Amino acid sequence: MKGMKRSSFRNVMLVVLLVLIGGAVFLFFRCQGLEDQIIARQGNLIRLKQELENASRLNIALTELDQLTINEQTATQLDILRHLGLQQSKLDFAIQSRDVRNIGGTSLYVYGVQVSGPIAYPAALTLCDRLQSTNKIHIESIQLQPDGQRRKNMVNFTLTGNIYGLVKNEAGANG
Amino acid sequence: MSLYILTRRTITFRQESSGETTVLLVPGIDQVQVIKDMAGTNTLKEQGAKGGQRQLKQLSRVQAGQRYIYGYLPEEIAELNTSVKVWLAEDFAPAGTQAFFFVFSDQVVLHGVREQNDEGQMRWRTAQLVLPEKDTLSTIVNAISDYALTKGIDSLTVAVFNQLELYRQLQEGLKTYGISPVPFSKMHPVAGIRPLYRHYDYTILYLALALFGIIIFAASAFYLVYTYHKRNALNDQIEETQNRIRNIKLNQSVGSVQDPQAVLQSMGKPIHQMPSAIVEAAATAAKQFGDLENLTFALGDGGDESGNSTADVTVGISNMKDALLLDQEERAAQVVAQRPWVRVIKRGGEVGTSGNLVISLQIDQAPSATVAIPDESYTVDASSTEPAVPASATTVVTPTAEPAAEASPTQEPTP
Repeated sequence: MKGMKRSSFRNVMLVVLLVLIGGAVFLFFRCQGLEDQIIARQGNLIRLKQELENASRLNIALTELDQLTINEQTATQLDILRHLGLQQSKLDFAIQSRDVRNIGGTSLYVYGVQVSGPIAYPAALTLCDRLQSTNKIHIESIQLQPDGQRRKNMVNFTLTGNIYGLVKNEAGANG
Repeated sequence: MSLYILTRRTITFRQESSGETTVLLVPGIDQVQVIKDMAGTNTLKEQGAKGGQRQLKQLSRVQAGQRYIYGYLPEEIAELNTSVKVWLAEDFAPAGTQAFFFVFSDQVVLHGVREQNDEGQMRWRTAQLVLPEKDTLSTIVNAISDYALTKGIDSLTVAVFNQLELYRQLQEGLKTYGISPVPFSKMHPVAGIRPLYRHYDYTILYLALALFGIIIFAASAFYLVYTYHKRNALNDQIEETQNRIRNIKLNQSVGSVQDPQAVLQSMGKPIHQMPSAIVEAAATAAKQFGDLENLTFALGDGGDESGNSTADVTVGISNMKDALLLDQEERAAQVVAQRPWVRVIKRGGEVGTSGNLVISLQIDQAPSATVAIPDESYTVDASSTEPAVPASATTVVTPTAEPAAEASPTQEPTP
């Protein structure tokens, strides 16, 4: 700067200043463009999170529905007993009624079932609790009656309730 | 202070130091132009345009309606980075002075004489003295003394510029004539006169502007980097969310169900109480009345939403312990008082030595109700032979504030 002419120094400084201010303005407008992109992406992110939440809820509901229902097309009595976890029980099982409900274009099949037979009193209570805990059967009534032969601890147990069935895709069926 | 002496576009003296630069112009008498019709043009651009000089800046001054052009500023002076003011040498002559000798070195002496021209105007005639290379001091003293002897010393000014030794020698030499030189640093332009040319040192201003430009450029660059990273972070979040959405595998088994929530809502809901707890509570309460013959529990849809739902359990009793209806009611009151979860005990029809009772139990609304694990030793004992009294009316016993005084503590089923 010492050996530089006054006009040269002035011109250099003006050019530098012009370049810096021009660069700053250019960067600022680039930033404004990025800000616009950020606003658009924030809206997009909110929409995607909502979509993710809806998909998660839908998946949870579908999974729960799949677990609580039997496959209407393929279910045999053994499948229903497996569904209830009674495949190794010596209790009697009978389907008393069958009904169809149409809910939003989906056919929900409602079976009235009865589980009955002699069983120990504590085992009957445990069975009731277990069946209710699985939510796979909606218990309507429980009846306990002492065994006619007066066997110790044994009761005649009768449980009525509803189980539900859906028409499922066999490829994706998992129980 | 830096000082330059400019004569006929030639710099004859220069002394550079820090600070403002003063240029003393000594134009030749034949060099001065007087242009009367340019008196009103004051800007250098206008003056240069009319004078045909665009490259060099004009050194001129308006006096008495006439513009005096003393010459043009050399590029060397115009390109000095320091502040520059160009004066005529006579501008430093004090008021009332008729002649001056400004001694800048032993070779450079400016001499000016004020005289009247042909038009009657008082003008200064200035020149740089041509001095011999040897014995210059005596030459200067002789020139000053000659003028003093002819014109007198009252209107004579002698000034010496930053030469202390020369100043002392000159003071000694002029002492005989009663002339005392003064330092040139004490000389100032006459008040009211503007310099022929001046420019300022804009270095600080330029540097400040450059610093300002650097700051706003850096701020913009930082802003750009910040927004760029913020946008990239959002892009990453969007991509991650999209991946999470893609990775959600919808249950294909019941994927055809459009509204699974509605289907789930239509399915029966269990009560918030384990059946074993209700059965056991009803059986325990029923055992207080006689032998338990059977127990039927019909579950609803989880009770109402007020939180006061109850479950009705119908129990068949044989061999009632109390024969009298009054005693049965008193026993029922004791049972209700001792068991807060038993809300109501009703007769389910005619009750004599045997009959049905309906026991209403409070159902917990909390989903996390504890599961009662029944004791393995519990049995259903149906052996009792107490007499019974027929009862025709249905009696309802509800909890009261004061339970029966003779209520026994607890009467649990026989293990």
